[in-house]
Amino acid sequence: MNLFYAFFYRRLIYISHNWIGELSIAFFLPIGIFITLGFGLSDSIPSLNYVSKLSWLIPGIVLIISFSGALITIFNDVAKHKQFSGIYGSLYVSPSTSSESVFAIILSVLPEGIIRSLFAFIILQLIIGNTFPIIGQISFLLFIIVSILIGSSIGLVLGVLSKNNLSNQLVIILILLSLGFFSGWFVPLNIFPESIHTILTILPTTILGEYSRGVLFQREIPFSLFFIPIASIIMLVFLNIFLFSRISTE
Amino acid sequence: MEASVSLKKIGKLINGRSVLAGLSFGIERGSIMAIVGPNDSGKSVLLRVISGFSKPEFGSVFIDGKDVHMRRLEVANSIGYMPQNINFDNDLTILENFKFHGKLYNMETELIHKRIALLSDKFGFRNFLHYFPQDLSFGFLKKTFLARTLLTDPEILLLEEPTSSLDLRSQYFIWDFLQELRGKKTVIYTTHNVQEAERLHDRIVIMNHGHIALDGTLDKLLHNAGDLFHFQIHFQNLSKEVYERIKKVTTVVSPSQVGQVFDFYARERKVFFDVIKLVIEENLMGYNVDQVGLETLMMTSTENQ
Repeated sequence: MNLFYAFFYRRLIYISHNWIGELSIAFFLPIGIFITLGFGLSDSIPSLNYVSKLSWLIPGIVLIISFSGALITIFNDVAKHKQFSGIYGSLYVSPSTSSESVFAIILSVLPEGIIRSLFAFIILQLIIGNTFPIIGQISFLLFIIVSILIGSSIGLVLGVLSKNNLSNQLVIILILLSLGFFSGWFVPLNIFPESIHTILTILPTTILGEYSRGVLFQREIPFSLFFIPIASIIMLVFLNIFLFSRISTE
Repeated sequence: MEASVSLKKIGKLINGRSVLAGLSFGIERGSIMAIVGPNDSGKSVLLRVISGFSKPEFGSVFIDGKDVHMRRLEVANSIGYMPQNINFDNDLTILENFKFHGKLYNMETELIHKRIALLSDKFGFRNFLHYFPQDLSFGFLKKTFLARTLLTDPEILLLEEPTSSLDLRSQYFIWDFLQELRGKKTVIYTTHNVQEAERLHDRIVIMNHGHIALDGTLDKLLHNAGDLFHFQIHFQNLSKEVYERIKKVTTVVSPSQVGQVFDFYARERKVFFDVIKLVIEENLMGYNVDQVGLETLMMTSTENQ
């Protein structure tokens, strides 16, 4: 818990030093994504009963913000400081295990991710002029948290494995773009060929997107697949513990 | 006095190359050990092994009887490690860097503030606590960095070149400060600065290619070196033929040619005259004779292995 607090404190300080930039991104990013997708993909968006058609985009936009925010933050931090000569050097010789370090790093971005996502969610609801049911909003928070945890876990894996920062930045852009589309966050899955449907529907990010729309638009959804995102986090955490133990000792 | 740190047959390989080879020694509690040696001699790796970061392929390191690598969590709080590179986070102020470091070591907030106040007064950076690292000079930052290592009040300090790139005044400050720690903390530091090692040590270890070339106090090392002398003979023109002729004198140690100067060591003054006899017909410009100090001892002991 102390180690989590150390990393959380560090994130808090970063944000407080760059609060104008952070606030601007938190405000303009959802609007920017919404306008871009709304204009560009409005023909692909399915019609909805009772609510504005563009409301369909909201869960996907919030999820990509939560996911990418966590992934990019953790990746940049680890890739930049992971060397023994970087600030992680102090972590490696401190009284903490690899598993404690991994949990602390992954969880450190959770509070800011939740706030950033909820902020985006509120802004988008205001733009659309449509408020989702309160139970749906509370349930959606759970999926936001899962999305942040998957994003930060993947960010840590990439950060630990990164060798060349530029090529890794490109990989991250590719991951985010492809996840946004292939997970059905920006466009409905039925626009993709039938042959890859099965694979796409069992992606943990696809499940999060579908469940989010389910709880927000009060659709019937089978929750039996929820174990996939949870299992993904657990597997990524174990992978991270293994990888982190490799870099925290020589 | 009991040993604070003990090494038992430590062997370390990096990419299949042996960088530490069967090192065994103990370091007394409260003593200051200077580790000197050429680049790539294994000094920094040795500190990393003692810190617990670098796992040796062979042997064990014990701190207060506890195996550093088996019981790392128990001994980590006793160790303060100062790497050669200043690893402050440039996005945090000095104060925030100290706080983050304290939290990594599970320190209570109140204690962190107390220690920061104490150290910032001692090291003279109280007025710079709200500065970012990149806004401070390198020398000042290095002193501040040493202070951060002391934040957790560790019993054992592992310092990688604590005074490198510092001006003389800052060097003296750190030397005096480390002198004050004698008897209270175990200090193990690496250095290329022979003057520093001569000035600040209870024991000097000279390392070469992962081995300990020499180990002891300066007096002991110089005593063991016997009457080793350093000679330099200046020629008007030192030809290759003359150089080859005189370097073959069997009692000449570590001969080398530096421009028109023939540089060598010998255990007896008589050797100098043996050499002179061989070159009496050459145009000699002058000569120097020195008693060997730590610097030459280091040069000779690391060259011959």
